Amino acid sequence: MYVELKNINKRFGDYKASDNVSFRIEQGKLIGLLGPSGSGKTTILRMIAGLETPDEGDIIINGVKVNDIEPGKRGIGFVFQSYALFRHMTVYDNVAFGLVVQKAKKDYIHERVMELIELIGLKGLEKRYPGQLSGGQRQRVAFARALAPNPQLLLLDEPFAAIDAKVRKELRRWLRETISKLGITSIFVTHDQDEAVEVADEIIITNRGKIEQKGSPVEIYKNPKTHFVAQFIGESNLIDDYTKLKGFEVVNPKETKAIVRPEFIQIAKNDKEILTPLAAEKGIVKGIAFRGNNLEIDVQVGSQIFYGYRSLEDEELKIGEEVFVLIHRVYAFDEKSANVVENKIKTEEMSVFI
Amino acid sequence: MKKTSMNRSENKFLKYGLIGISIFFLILMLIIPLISIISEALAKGFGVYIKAISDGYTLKAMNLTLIATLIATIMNTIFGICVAWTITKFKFRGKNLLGTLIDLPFAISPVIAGLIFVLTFGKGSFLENILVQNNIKIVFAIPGIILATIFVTFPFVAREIIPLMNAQGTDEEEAAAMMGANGFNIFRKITLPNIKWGLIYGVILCAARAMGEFGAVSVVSGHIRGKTNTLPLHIEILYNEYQFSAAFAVASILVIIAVIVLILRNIVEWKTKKEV
Repeated sequence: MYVELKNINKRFGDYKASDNVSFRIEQGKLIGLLGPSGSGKTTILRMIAGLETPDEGDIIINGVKVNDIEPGKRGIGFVFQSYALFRHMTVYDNVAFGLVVQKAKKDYIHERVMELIELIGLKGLEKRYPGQLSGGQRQRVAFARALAPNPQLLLLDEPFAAIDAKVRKELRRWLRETISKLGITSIFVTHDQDEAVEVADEIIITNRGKIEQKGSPVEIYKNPKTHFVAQFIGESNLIDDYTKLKGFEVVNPKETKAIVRPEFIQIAKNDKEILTPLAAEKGIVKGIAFRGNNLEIDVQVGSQIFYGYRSLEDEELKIGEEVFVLIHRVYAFDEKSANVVENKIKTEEMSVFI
Repeated sequence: MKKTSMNRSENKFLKYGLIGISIFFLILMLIIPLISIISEALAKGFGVYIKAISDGYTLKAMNLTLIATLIATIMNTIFGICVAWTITKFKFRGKNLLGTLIDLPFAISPVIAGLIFVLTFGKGSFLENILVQNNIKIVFAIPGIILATIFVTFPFVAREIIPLMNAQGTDEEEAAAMMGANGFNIFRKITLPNIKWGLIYGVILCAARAMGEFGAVSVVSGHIRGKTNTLPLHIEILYNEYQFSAAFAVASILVIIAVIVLILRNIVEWKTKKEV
């Protein structure tokens, strides 16, 4: 089974929630729809579910156009951001609801509900009401409830948004493992890139109702195709003219703007700390901040301030100290696309070493 | 330190002052009148009281009041749920206008509410011919009383459950729809249990108001004893005939009903709080 969206357009008044959206999803994949709030990701999810109708375009699930099929008959399980648990029903009745509505046999319902309650690790709590559960437990119940009628596709709207940071991490791992164990095709919406990178097999990045890029987390991280993606994913230093940096001299460049990730920057106390000192700029340490597992260093090169990280094991730096700043690569971009540009001096020097 | 202690004494003064004013006002405006109703009702002895409330016309009036209340409450419950559902679960044009229209009976004087029906169904109205030909009597008959009661009390149920349904949103209904529940099942299994206590509260208020309605009913009723007199109208007639004890005796029935409603109301409120 796969999901396909073809040229989907959707407006809410003046606001264009989906602008010619097209993508395909393979069976069994766990997909993260990632974008800032208001980028149209939840609208896409709700249109696949049938809770919103696209103005134009087709939604195809498993080869069947589902535009005119009602939500309940699309074989989709949906986990709402607020969980939307039935507050006057017990955990058991919540999970059983879909099966009861479908008039499944009583024995089967009982067996299936108990199996799912076991799966979500809430055995013994089946008589509780949603109001008596923690956020994480509610989320699991919502998950089990969506799975009970054996959907072919599972949609999750910001599944971790309402859960505190510590439980969230645990729950993410649990969800990922459970989904891969069940092998069910799933799409989840999130605005949190860590979450998308950690959980998804593939990420679709949305911005202003458009799809910016689709690919595996590593691919997106390493090869951002657009300026937006380069900036949105990971951390970034924005620079106006990268061709002034050592190793990046380009004659007549098409674009001079670029993004430098902190992990592309190596800040060294002296030339012994780096392999290719010739490729490095000189800079002045402007600020040092303790980040728990490393130090964040602000360093000035020319008129530009970059920030990068330095291990706690390395020799200490002081503010005002002159350091070597090696920029391994930058993402150069214009309005439409983004390209990776490597430090030429560094690559040449490296080849000499080899 | 000094300042806080001064503030505290000031607060105390304010607190007891306000409590005092409230109690004084309640006693003056509510308790004394209620006591006087009961004492007037029993002024000529218990026998007269029993006679007054077991009088044939009183029983007929009570009967009519109960019928009108029952029908108006049922109609307005159905209407209230429909309109609240429409307003809270769908997006459409003119939604605000509909919301405002619901409140119209609160804004209109009951006398005008009665007149509306006299003008619509009475002599000289455009419907007169059809009504006469089919031998249907509305004004100065029971149907008119029921219509007027429905009109005056129709915001109660809707107003009580609309905020509740708004606050609950449509997530649970959507979740049920995703699992294949049809509209009726969604209403019965999801929406109704969620608004249960608010709905009961609205129904109680609606019934209480329906029983006591005077103005609109007075206009359409025609005051035919034993036929189109409701309890409040009957009280007025007795009073105008200088039968004070009888009037207050009948009035005490309405007072007792009001107290029962108040108790029910508190039980429902307590239940609602407990569930939230």
